[in-house]
Amino acid sequence: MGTVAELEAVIGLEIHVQLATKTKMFCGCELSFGDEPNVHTCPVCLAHPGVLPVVNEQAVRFALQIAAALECEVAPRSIFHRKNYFYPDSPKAYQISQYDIPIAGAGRLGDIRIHRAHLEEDAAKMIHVGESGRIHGSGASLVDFNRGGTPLVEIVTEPDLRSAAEAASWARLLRETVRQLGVSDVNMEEGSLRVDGNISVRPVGSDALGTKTELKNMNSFRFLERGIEAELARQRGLIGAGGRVEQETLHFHPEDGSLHPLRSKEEAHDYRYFPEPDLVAIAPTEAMLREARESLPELPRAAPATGGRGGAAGRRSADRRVLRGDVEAGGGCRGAHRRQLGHRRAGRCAAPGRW
Amino acid sequence: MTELLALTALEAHRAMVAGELDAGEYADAWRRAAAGDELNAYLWRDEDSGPSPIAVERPSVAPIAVKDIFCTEGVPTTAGSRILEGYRPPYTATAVRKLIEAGAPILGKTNMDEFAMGSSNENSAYGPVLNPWDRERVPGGSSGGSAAAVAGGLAPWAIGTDTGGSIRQPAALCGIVGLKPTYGAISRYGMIAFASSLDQCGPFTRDVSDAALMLAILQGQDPCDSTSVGLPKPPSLPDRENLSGLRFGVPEDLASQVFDSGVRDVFEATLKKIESLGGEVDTVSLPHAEHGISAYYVIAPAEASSNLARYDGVRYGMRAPSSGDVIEMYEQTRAQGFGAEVKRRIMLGTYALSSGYYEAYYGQAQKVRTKIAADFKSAFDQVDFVVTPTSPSVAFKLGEKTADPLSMYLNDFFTVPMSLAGVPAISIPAGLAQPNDGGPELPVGFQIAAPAFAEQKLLSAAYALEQGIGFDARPPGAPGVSPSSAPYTARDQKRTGSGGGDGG
Repeated sequence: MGTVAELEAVIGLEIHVQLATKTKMFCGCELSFGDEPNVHTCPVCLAHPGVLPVVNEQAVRFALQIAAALECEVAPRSIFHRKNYFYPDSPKAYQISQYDIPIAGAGRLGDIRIHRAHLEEDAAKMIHVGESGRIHGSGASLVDFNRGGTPLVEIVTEPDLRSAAEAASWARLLRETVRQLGVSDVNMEEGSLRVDGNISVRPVGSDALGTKTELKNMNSFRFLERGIEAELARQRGLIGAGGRVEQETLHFHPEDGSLHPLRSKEEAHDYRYFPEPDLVAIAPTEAMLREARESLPELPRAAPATGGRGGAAGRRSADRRVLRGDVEAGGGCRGAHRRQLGHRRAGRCAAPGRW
Repeated sequence: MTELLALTALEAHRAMVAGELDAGEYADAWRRAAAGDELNAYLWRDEDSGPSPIAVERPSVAPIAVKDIFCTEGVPTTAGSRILEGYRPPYTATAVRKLIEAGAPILGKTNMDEFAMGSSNENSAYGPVLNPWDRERVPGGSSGGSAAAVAGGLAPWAIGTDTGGSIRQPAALCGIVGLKPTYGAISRYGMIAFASSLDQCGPFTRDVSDAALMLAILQGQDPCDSTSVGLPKPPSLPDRENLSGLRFGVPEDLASQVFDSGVRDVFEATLKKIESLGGEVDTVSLPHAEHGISAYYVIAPAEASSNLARYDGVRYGMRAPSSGDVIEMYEQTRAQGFGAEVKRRIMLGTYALSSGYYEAYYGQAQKVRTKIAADFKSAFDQVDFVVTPTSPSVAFKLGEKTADPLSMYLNDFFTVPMSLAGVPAISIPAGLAQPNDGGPELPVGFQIAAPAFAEQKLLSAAYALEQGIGFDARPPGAPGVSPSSAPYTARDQKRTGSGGGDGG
C-alpha cells in the first residue's frame, strides 16, 4: 500500500430530489412544508386497510424532464417494487420505489456519468423527543405524515468524482439544472434536495474500487464538501496506519465536523424487494418523451473543460410559474376521495400503463 | 314475509321498479331475517335504516350482506381479525359504494377467515360460521359468512372475495352460486388486501341471473385501482336455453383428486347433463395445474407478508400495552393481534422473499404461474370452458382439518389454478351427495371456468346448465320457495344432478 498522498478519492453521489408536484406520489394529498403536523393526510398515505396507490402522472412527467436534462436513457416500461421494512415513518411498512427497472438509465451531466434515476416516495418525518435525537433512548417519538408520500427522484452517479471540491461543485451544477427545470424547490436546508456520498480511496493508477462508506446528513454544499473531506482524511489515515476501511454508513455532524457511524443493526436490513402488485408499468408515450425534451429550458453549462450541454436553440426558457401552472395530475381519486375525505382539491387519477 | 324472502334479487328488483313491492318493507323483512342469525354469519348487522354513512336513500335493489373485508365508512370492519377490533374505516370500498349507489341497502358485515386466509371459516377471530345444511359442518371459506347468510336465508345475496377459491368453495359447500370474475373486472379499492395479485371481489347469489345482475353493478374500471379495467361490455341477463355448439373440457387425471365418491357421481352426472343439453364434453390438458397449490402457497403468503405489515399498532386498530421500545410494541401487537394461520403465512411469505431465497421460491412460483396461465390459454383454444368439481369433498366437520394445514390447503386444488391464471370461474350447485363419513346429503358445486373477460359467455352457459339441472334443494329452515321464481320451481328430485337426461 502506498503512502497517504498517493491515494486518490473515488466519490459517487446519491441525490434525492423532492418533486414540486401539487399532490403526493400515490394519493391526492397536497404537498406542504412547514404546515402543522398531520393535516395533509388521507387513508392512502396513512396506509389504512384496503387502500391502493395510484401513480401521480405529473411526477412521471417531471422525472422524464430530469431524465432528458441528464441525457438518460428512458425505460420503455419501468416498474415499482416494494421495499419492506418496519419503522414508524413508513406507514405501509414498505416504501414503493423503483428497483431493477428504473424510469431512467445511463446518462451524464458534464463529465460525470449518471448511473440511473428512479421514482419513489418520501418517508414521513419523525421527531424524537429527548436528548439523543434518535429513536433509541428517546422518551417518545412523534410522526408527522405530511411529508410521507412526497414524490422523489433519486439520482445516482457513477463514482466519477475525484475530490470533495469537485463533488460539491458538481452537486451545485445538478441543483441549478433541476432548478431550471422547475420540477423541484431544490432547497437543501428544507430537505427538498438531499445529497449522500459514497466514498472510497484507492492507489493512484488503480482501476479497482476500494471499500466504500456512505455519508449522510450534509444539508448544505459547504457541509457536503467538509463532510467528504473529513471522511477522505479518515480513510487515508486508516490505510496509512495499516488499517482497513469498514463498509458502513456515517452521519456527518456539522456542529463539530465529526463523523459517527449509524448503528450497524439499523443497517442490517433485508428489504425483501418484490414487484408492487398494486401498480402497472410506467410506459411513457412518444409524445410524453418529446414533451419532456422540448420543455428543457436553457440549462446551466458545466465548466468548459467538462464539455457541458449543447445549444439550447428552440428551448423554452424556464418559467417556473408556467411549468407549475401546468400541473394537473396527482394520485388519488377525484370522485371518491374528494367526497369521502373532504379534500379541497384532489388530483386526477393517472393510469400510466394505459397512456 | 316468507313470500318476500323467497324472491330472488332480480325478481325483487323488478317488483320494486314496477311499484309492486315496497322497498322499505322488503329491506325490513330481510333485516328481521338477518337478526335471527344462528349461524354466526354476521359480525355486524344494520339494526335500522337510520342515518349512516352507508345508508341508502331510495332502495331499489335487494339488500346485501358484505364480507367484513370491505371497508365501510363509520361501520366496524375487522377482516375477521382481532388486530382490527373496533376499527371503523374513514372511507368506503368502491364495490360497496357502487352497490349503495345502485340502491342496495347494506344488511350487515359477514364473518370470514382472518384476512381471508382459510377454507373453513374456522380461522375467524370471532368464532366459526356454521353450515346451514348441517350445523356441525363448516360453510367453507374464507367467505363463509357470506355463503352461509345467502344459503341460510339471512340475506338475499352477498359479496365476498376470492383469492384462491374463497367465493367458489363456500358457495359449493353451501349450495349456492358463487362467481370469481376475471382479475381486474371489479375494483379492489377498499378491499382489505390478502394477496394483491390474486384478490378479486364477486357475488354470492341464489341463482346465475342474480350473479349477472350483481356483476353488472360491480364491474368497471376504477381510477382508485390501477389494476382494474372492467369488462369489455356490461353483462346482460343470461337467457341461453341450451348448450349446443359449446365445448366443455375436463382436465386429465382429475378423478384422482376428488376425495368423495358422491362428489364424483354428481360431477359425472353433470357432464351427462351438459351433453343432454347439446354441449360437447372433451378432455383437456393442464399439465402444470397440479403445481398450482405449491405456487399459490408461495405467492399468496409472500404478498400477504408485505400487505399485513401495516398492522403495527401505530395508527389504528389494536395496540398491545408495552413498556419497551417501538420494536417491542410492534412485536407484542402482532403477536397478540394475529391468529395462528395468519402468522404461519406471514412467516412463509417473509422467508420466500428473503435475500438468497427469492429466486428459489418467489421467482420459481411466478414461473409456474406463467405456465399455468399458458396452459389455460391453450386449453381455451380447444374448448370454450374448463369444468371441474368446485371442491374435492362436500362440507366437512368443524375441527376435522384444523390440525392439518396441508389437507386444508388441498380444498383449493380445483379453484387455485383459475386464480393464478386470472380467469373467471363460477360455481353452481349441481346436486346433493352423502359425505364419505355418512350423514345427511350435502350440496356439491360444479365449477365452470372461461377465458379472461368472457363473463357474459360464462354466465350464459352456467344459466343454461342451471336450468337443466333444476337444483331446488334448500337447507332446513331456509325461506320458502316462491312458486313463480323460475330456478326454484318445485321439482320432485332431491338428487337432481344424479339423473342422466331427466329434468332437462
